[in-house]
Amino acid sequence: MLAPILASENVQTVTLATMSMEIRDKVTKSLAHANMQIVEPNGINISRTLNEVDAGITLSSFAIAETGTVAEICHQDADRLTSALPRIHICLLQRDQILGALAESASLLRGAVETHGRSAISLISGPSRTADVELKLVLGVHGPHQVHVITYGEE
Amino acid sequence: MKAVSKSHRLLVEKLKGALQEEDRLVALYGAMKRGRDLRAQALEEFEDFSAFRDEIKAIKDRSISNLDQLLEEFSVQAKERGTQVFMAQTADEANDYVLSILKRIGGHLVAKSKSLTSEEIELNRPLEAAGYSVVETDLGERIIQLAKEKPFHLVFPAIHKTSQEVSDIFSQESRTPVSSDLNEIMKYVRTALRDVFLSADIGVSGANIGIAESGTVVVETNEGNGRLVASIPKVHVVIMGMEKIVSTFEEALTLVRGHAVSATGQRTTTYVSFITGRTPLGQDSSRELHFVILDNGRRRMMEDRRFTEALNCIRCGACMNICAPYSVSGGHVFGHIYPGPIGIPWTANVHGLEKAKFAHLCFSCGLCKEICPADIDIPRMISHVKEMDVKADGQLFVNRVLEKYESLAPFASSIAPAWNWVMHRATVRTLMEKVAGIDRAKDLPQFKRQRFSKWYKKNQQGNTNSTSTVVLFVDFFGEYIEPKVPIALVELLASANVDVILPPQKTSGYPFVAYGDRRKAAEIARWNVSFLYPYAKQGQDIISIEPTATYSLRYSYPDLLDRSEESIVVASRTFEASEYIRKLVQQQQILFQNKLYAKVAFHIPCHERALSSSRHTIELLKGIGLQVDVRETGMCCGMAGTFGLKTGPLGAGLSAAVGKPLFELFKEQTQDYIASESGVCKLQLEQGTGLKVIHPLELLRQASAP
Repeated sequence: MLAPILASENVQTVTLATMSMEIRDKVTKSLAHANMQIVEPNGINISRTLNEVDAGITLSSFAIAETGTVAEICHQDADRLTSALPRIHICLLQRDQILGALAESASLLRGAVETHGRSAISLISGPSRTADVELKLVLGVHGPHQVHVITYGEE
Repeated sequence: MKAVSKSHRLLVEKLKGALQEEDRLVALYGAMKRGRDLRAQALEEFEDFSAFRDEIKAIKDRSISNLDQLLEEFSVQAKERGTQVFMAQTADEANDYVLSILKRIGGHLVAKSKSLTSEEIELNRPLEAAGYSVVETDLGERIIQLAKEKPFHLVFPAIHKTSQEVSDIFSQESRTPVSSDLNEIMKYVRTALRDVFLSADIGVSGANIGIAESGTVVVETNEGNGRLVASIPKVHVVIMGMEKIVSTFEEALTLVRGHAVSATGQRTTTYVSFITGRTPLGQDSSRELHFVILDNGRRRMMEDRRFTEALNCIRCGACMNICAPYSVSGGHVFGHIYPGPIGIPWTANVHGLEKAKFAHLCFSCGLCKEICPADIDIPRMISHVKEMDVKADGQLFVNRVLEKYESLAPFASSIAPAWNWVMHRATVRTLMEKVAGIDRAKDLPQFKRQRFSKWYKKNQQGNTNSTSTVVLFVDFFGEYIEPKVPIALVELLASANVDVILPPQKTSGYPFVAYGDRRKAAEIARWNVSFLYPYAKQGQDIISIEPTATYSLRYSYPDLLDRSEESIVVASRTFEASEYIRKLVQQQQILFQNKLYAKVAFHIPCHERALSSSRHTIELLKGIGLQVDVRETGMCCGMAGTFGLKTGPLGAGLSAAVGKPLFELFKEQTQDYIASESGVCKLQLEQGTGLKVIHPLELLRQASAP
């Protein structure tokens, strides 16, 4: 699923946010198979490095059906920038982590903040957009032009 | 005659200019309509939007009344997670604080995401004066910044700029041609601003909500610039008004939903960020997060009972999208920094009364309250601002004349044919325009010799068959101009053996509220309530024909009379005549024998929106065989009481511009009748369309022969 999406968008470089070793291995294999280059964000110029990458792959903590939203809980801004800077954002979502309504997410948000203290949680509902000029909707202003959510696991 | 103040003259001049810029007005009208349509669509997904509205109001009421405690909790929690919290009393204190951070870290570039609060304190000005570069990164804000203007609309700040103008602005900035194709504009903006995000020393954002339980702020953006200014620069500064704090995540999520639905009709804003403490970037954990919490007049608003409710504003912009005078003047005239209806109490309190002069553009149509997701009584606060301004700066002579107009009515009607003849003379109208400021081209209502109360005395000596009684409140149009309307009502009720009681009464006095004379309005309210209360106390129903009068009895009088026991009882027994008749029809006490198979084009008066939105009348008309076609722009027709009678831009000019799209709706289609329940709307529609407008009660009377 992952490789065809990236190939069809002419993606050559990809970066990965923090995720479990198991998922990371699978993603890495799939990317290697498709000859994609994985960029590691480290050093002092993380933002500039990520800015040059074509696609970012992140792991969603949960999702909300009512609003078509994926939630990313980050304790590291390199992770946040992985879904903010590249033009393509691929979000991996475990199927049994989908809530019904936005209001149901309150306890998960509270839990995340209580457990980790400092955190940046992003609720993302589609690609970056604006209608500021003549009220015409244009996608991909400052954030990704495209967001793909790939679900996995048991329902 | 008191001279017109300089600031008033300036307002009129600005309005005159705005009314001539047709292209802008077309763009603005489109933006507002789209805003209303998107919101209406989003509302359809709610099972019960009014319950959701109550929830938002309850959250805000609760938060503002516990503000001190929430502020304390918010700042303790934020500090615990490494955030630096600064309480700024004034705009200067907030600006100085940001400046001191820049000096300390030695940066030179500030990247900002959209923040109305930073506009309020005009943060950019002192930063730029000190030699720092400040770049707005929200597309609309960036356009405005480069054009050196203020926001035209709260949610769409650059709505008045065409893509060609935008391309010119960016071409000038980059010194290379940028095409006017929207995708090309976006490509340019994305590239140009990426460099700003990556090089900025400080990111400044606003906050939509603060959550006390965890010291978290919520930042909502669609473009994604909010996430970048919050994560890339070494320092992130959040500027937020102190009224933004709620207690829990649950409350915050309700507001998140409310913001999106009301502002853009989205289910949720594309990016909703919950920021708690500063997260590291790579190994760098020396990064800073600052919360600047602003008072700047908010505490005073909280303590001033008249304006406390303004703090419930969630800044969605919905009230601007329904405001008729705003639609033809735009945010540069109908606003200082905060535009639109809610901008009036906010401007008066944070920027000063003098800057809130645009309050006088308000028609007092009341629609801003009806659309507000927090049910804020914006019209009430505007009437206070008008009152304060009239006290400080004097009342316009024309407003005094129009306020008095009703008190001349008994005399005018006693000599009606002569009065109407005189008032029709061109020389008289020219003189009235010159001396009193009443527009000579506007039709004045024609007085009838036989006032309703005289007819009543002659013809209503008590119906011997009557089985019940009801109290009637007539108001100006029914009493003096169109007595046939209350007569039709009395006859309809007589057919159901309901006797009408007519206690002593004055007209509603609403024009006093509209022109900022709350004291006189209260006097009239007290007088009317004193005669209605004895009936209401005994459980008698009071019915009223004119929507503005019903609205006054129900909502304005209790407010004007400090919610006195009497006024509350009267309000609780007051009904629209249409509702009362509908009940009698349902009980088969009124029978309609003649069906009128015809097509009615219907206009719903603004004050009906707070009542039944003419639901009862429309159902009654359908019941007598009429096909009812509601024609509306979604805004006020433009007469707004007596506003449209005044000469010049701030009166007839504004009124004509507002009415134009509505008149078209009646002129471009055919109908057998045009009907409206309001005498004022009737006057405006007849003048605007050249067509006759009939009162629904007259149609109902026709259907109930003989």
